[in-house]
Amino acid sequence: MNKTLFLKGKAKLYPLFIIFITSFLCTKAIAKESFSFIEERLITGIVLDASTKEPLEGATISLKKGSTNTISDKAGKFSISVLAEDGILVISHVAYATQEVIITSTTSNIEVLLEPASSEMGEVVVVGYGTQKQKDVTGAVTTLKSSEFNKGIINSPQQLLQGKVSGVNVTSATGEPGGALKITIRGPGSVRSGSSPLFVIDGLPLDNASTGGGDPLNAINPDDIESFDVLKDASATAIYGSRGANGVVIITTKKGKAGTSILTLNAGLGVSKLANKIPVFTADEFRREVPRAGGTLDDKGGNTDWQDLVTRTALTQNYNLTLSGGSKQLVYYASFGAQRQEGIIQNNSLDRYTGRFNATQKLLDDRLVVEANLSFANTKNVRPPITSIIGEALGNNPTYPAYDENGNPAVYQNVLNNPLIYFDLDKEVGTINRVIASISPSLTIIKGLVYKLNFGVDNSNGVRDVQALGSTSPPRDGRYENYQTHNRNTLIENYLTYSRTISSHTFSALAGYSYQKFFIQEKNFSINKIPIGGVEPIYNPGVGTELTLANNRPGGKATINEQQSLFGRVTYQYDSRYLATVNFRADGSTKFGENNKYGYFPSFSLGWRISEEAFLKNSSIVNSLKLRAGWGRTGNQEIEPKITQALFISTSGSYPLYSSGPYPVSYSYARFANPDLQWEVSEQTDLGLDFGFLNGDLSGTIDYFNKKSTNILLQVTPADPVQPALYVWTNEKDMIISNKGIELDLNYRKRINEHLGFGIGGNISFIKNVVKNSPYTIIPSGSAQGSGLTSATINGYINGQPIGTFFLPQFIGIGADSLNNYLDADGNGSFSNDKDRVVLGTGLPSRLYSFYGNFNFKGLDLAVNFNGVSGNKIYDNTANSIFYKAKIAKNTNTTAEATKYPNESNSNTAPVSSRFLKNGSYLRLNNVSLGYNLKTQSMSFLKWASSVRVSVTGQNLFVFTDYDGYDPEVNIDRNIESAVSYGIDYLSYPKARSVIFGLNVSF
Amino acid sequence: MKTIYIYILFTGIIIISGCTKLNEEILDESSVTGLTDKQLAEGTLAPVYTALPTIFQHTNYFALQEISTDEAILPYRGGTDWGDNGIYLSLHKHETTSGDPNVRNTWNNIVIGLSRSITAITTLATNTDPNAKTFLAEARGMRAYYSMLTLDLFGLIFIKEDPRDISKVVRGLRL
Repeated sequence: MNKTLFLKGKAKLYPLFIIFITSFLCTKAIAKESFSFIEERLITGIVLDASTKEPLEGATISLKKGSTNTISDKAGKFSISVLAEDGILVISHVAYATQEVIITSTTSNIEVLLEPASSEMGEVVVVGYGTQKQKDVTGAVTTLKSSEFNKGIINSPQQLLQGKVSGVNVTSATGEPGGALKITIRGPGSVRSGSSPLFVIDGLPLDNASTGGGDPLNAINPDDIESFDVLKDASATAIYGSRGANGVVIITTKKGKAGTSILTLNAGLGVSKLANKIPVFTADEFRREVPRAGGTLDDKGGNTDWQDLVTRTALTQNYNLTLSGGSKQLVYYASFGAQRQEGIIQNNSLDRYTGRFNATQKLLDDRLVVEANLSFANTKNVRPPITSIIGEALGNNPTYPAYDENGNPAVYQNVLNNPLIYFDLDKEVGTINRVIASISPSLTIIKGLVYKLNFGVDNSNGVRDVQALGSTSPPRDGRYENYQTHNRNTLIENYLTYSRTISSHTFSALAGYSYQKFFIQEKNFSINKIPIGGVEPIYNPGVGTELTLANNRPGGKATINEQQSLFGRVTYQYDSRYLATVNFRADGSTKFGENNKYGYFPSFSLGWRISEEAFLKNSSIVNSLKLRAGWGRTGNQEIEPKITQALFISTSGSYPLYSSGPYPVSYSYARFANPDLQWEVSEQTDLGLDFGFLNGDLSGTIDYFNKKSTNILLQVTPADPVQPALYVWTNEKDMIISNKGIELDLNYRKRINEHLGFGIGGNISFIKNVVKNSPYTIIPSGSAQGSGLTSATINGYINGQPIGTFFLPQFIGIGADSLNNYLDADGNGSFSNDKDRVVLGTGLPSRLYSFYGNFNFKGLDLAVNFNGVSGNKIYDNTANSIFYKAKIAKNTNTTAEATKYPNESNSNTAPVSSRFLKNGSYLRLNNVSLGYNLKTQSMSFLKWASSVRVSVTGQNLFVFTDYDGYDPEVNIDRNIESAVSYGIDYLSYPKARSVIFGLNVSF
Repeated sequence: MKTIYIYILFTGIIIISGCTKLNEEILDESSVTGLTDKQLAEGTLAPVYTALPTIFQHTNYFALQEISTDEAILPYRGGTDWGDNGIYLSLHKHETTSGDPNVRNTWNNIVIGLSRSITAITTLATNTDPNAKTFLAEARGMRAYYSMLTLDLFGLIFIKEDPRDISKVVRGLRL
């Protein structure tokens, strides 16, 4: 103690500090000792839900003073040791209001009834690098729990979300199992592909690059997903900086819960059939229509329905086993899943085998929490050549018998082949193995200050074999191709979070650093001329006999892309009424040019909980009312790699410069350097109101958003055409893509009595998308496909029009010359294919809506989900290429659309025009699920199970639409030079209608 | 005491995880370096000529000149012919539109040849290979040839001395 006299300034504090620490430690020791001198006793009790009187498992019971706590078990029972003197027990549970019970010296057994909290109170929302309580969130964030997911045969997580979140448009490209899904949040903001949101799974941001076929998220078992948190506005997504422009979907997988041990078994069997056939002529109708169209009938006497022959009733099996549980120190979750799905087109299947394990371990008195996640997935996709089969099934002559006298598929010397031939000769097999793993320890340094470190790896390897066997009839050589894809994504990030509450002020701060590296590699090789009847080249490519550089040049590409960022967030809440959040991120990427290496992305948002104000606090009508407003700037860094660097390489072709000797090697610039290239910028303003009335029974949100995307990256023809390369990448300075809209969510739930309850709700989004200030009159997109349609374009990006606009000649009927008549739009007296095109609608819907209902009575539950879009059109490229009069006159089958005009000449052409542009709005009964929970206690052999549920689910039972193709939810990729196409249907895989029987057992 | 070691471990990890300069590493393309003057001279002149065969393909220059003057016809008789969205019929009727792919391909190949000849002229001017002077003359001749093609087909000439400049457009007389 004498030493203090000799220390100067701040040094005086050191001994005080030491004394403080030691006394603190000593008091703890003393407290522990004194604890053992006073009598302990056991208090037991049961925790129940106040309204249903059901036992609540997993409630935390703790002493208000002290660290003792315990968890209630499956039957809601608990027992806790307390001091003999009086104290207070705190009982809390997620989604219920916390209760405090005073224990006296005579209390020994208590019954606790917990009231469900209004939906805003207890719920926790994942907001990127942390969580926030629902009531404190100031951005537009929607959480979707697993009980609200779409049911049925699910290939990838986006299908679970479809229609469930306002502002989110999920469209499948075709009905193929495992096919790519396009998801846009609040409208597309880019001309190129790269309008997909960022997916983050358990803290690891994923790359959206293809993993070798199908949708990359096919590798995630939908049964493992606990919830989605969709960050829609920039004030929430700015924490992800240059990847937040298109919104962020955070996926949280299921985790174990302390105090419980659960084993669940799920089994499902689904039966699928073709939902909707295209009405091509039957054999008899064909016999009548061909002569009527002026053709000579080619009748082989058969009666074949080709669509029936190439499709089948498909069976799908799905099995899932999960084990989870844990104690206060360790919780774990493990799951194994297998899904074997058949497609409704023959020889098409998708198998998915997944495994997942995650654990959270607490150490050092709960100061160190380590979370580990490990998942693997193996998907195998077998498919025949889909577009050839569909094209030929639709167009083939129905009077041709499908099989010859020997029972083999008949071979015709014709323009169209017998589609059944493909099933024997052609197949494509794609196998993808993917491992996603992460480990994140977080350490509480001092109370309120947490340091978290996150390591993650996502590794995927895919191999795709495309085999076309040789044959004599039809005569063909055969070819084998092999594609390998390798993707690796590694993440290292660390951040500090500090939170503190001082009287009615609560604030928290976050600061972090993140580094992520993406490596993508593809390789391929091929060989021609496969001998007939021998070994399949999938097993031994060496059986092929022709290998030339012209036809079989091996190929490959590889890119490394690194990203480095600093990010931070500050949140502040005053008296639970006034809320503020500020997010900031600085992102640098190797893809950006030297002059624009780092981008800065700030955002801020404010919230006002009006329902906590004195005038509304005790209102019985208004339970919660929150007004929020936010602005932020985010970026889209889905730009091409390498485009900022110059490239001087040897080019193909040469010329003799000397009278003899070899031709020299040619060198030229393929690309000049462009150090100014950068990410696309998106600025968004959001204004929202969250409300809850009638005790939380009626709740919803309204949002208005205004999103402007600028610095649009385009690959364009340079103004000066004399350049070494035809196209130049540039960020258009003036061009703006604007998305404005309103989203409305409304939910009503009511529990009538302990046996009966129901809930209904829905959402609707209005989105207006406009392209402004484009320096180009038109950026064409959507190249048409089919004979006679090469190079015709369907879509166009035009000033003052939305993305996905159809820019076509307008068909006004058949003229006196029996040929097509088009509108002379510029009134100059004659029609010209480019000058007289007209804007005729867009492939983007302006309204997305959905509604659901759920109903439960005793053990029975029913859930119904509808979703729909309107305001969009579809270009039927299938009809354009095969359903017109000249085709039926030549004995190719069509629908009645082709013979619609009796005075049409049968040599009339069918160029691209509004004649094939159709209304694309639809309303679909997405899924209906009826389930029954068996009373296991009364059934002797099942009494070990805590719950048994049987269910039947119908998926895509019907769809209301005017569109006469297979399905109005279609979007084939017909991009032109990176400009994305919208709303085009060309020989798309038809959608299935399925019924699935399910059994869930929990122990 | 144990916690201090953990703090040290974590701080260590922050430093190791590393900051990088974010220079893009390109794996599957590489710019050619270290060419000798002879290779560079030959290598810049040869590509000037390689566009020629594509320009004179039957769907490019040949179609534009022959079908528009009715020396050749490409009719459409319904269904299986070269309908191609009516581009050959338009050529015959002199109603060719801006989306015509044959016009575009002919144009693209001519201007690429023109661009490469300008690059060759500037590169060969400082090249020390003994054939450089002859090659320079050839490059100038090819530039003139391509300009003749643009003048004949489209009525335009691009005047450009350095590849980095913006071309000056000169229009031919309309007769």
